[in-house]
Amino acid sequence: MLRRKFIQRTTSGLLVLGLGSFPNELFASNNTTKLTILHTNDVHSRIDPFPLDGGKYQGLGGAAKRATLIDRIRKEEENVLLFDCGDILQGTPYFNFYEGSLEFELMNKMKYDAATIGNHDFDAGIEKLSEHIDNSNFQMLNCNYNLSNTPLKNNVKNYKIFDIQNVKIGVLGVGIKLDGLVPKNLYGDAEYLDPIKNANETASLLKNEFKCDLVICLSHLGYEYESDRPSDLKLAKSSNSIDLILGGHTHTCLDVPTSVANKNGEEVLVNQVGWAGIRLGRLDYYFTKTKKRKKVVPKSTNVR
Amino acid sequence: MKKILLLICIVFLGCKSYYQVTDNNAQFYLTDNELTSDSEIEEMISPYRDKLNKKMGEVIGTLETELTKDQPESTLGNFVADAILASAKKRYSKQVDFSLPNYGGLRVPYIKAGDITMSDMFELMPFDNKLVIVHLNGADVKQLFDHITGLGGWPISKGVEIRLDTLNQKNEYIINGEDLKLNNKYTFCVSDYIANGGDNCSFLKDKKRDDLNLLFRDALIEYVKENKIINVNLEKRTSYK
Ligand SMILES: [Zn+2]
Repeated sequence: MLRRKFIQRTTSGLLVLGLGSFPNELFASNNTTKLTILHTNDVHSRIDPFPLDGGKYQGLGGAAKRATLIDRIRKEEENVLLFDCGDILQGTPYFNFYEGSLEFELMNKMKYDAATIGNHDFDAGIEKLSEHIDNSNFQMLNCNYNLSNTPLKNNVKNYKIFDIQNVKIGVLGVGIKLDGLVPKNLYGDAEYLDPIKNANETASLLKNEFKCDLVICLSHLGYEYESDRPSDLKLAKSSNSIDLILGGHTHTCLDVPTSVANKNGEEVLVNQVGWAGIRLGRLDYYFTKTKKRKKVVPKSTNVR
Repeated sequence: MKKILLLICIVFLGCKSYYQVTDNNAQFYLTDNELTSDSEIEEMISPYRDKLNKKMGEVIGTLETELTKDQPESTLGNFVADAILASAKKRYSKQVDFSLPNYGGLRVPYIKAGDITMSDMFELMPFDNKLVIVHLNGADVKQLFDHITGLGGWPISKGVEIRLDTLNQKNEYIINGEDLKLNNKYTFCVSDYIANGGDNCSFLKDKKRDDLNLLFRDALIEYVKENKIINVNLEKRTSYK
């Protein structure tokens, strides 16, 4: 009966407060724009659903079902952005035998808009990854790997700006430390740079120079660590220009996004949807035209 | 005049407006069996799948009871550790004391009882890592065991007993019936990924090692093919005191 597992969360309560004091309705009549963000992470070459073997995940996942779901949402919603947060590759024999071509072809077909690089996306070598990126219709994003001496120097960008009915959505990508995680011969001359520093600088550029209305960071850093390794929660706390972090790597399955207060006490949402394409994440944002940005603070519940 | 100026001013400012987030909400969908499969996507996949199924559908053995992945000890971990140790011993003329697959290297949460296929082994160990024999002294082994127990415990081969007392930092390590001796020499079988310093094992990088020229996955396949019937139990290889 339950067609989809459905959990909702809204921040409307706190936002209405600031809005009432501004008479923006003077200039725009139908001035609310809705953006639907869909996201996956750590799909790990799981092209077919888990086998019907009685296991916990039986029948779940699979590109063909995900495509049906995405198509349905695209029919219902005018403005959809679809993202992946890395580790597209490695995990089933599809990758061992075809080295990832099918995974990228399927993402083209589903009309992904952008993705970031996961450590396992290097598993067939950086040259192969570059071929896949060249063959893809979506933008691969990363702002903390120096790729200037690698085949990825021209086809991976720090950020991309999407124009959604004049609402500017800035999207950047950030990746995990490769040394110790990926054999050197696979990642070649890709050089890892401080993800927190680079993500914040890129986000600030998007928000302050390019005047983006929403800044989204696609991250493969991982949700949280006991040690002081860079993570999505750490990045969120240190930021001042990121609104939303969509993450991966730790296969963290969040039923609701985590709300984090950034450096200025403003809200950053952090989300991740497990692995293997078992879930598809969705966030809807509503924008209203205004003359001045208002501070959005975290809700009292579910705040880290 | 003043009014016109004010209007121009307002219009001008109006053009420079932002779009403020006024509301948001989040949800997720489960990609389950109530969704039909997109036929165009199916068409794209099926030639790849058909070719793959010929190779990967091959049944190489039978699993008596389900294997599951867990810490500090699990049936899936015990199976993998014993399988790689057996395959290593066949290729290595000298003593091998134990094997140590890394927990994160087991890439499926479970394997259900029944036929074991090639595909199961590829999904369990998709990486093309090779097995190596690493030589350590007892103090190095202690460092290694302290490291892996700090990570929650890794799979380990039969014959090793790790008694955890993390609270007092007084773990007990027993290898093949004897307490770990700091001055003894030991050899163990591990993936080249770990021997090269993966999973924060950089202290293994400069240790003496011998290559087996055997893929980790091929060692598993060989073990299943030779034993045909796989039955694995929990044996308190790693347990709390
Ligand atoms: Zn990863």
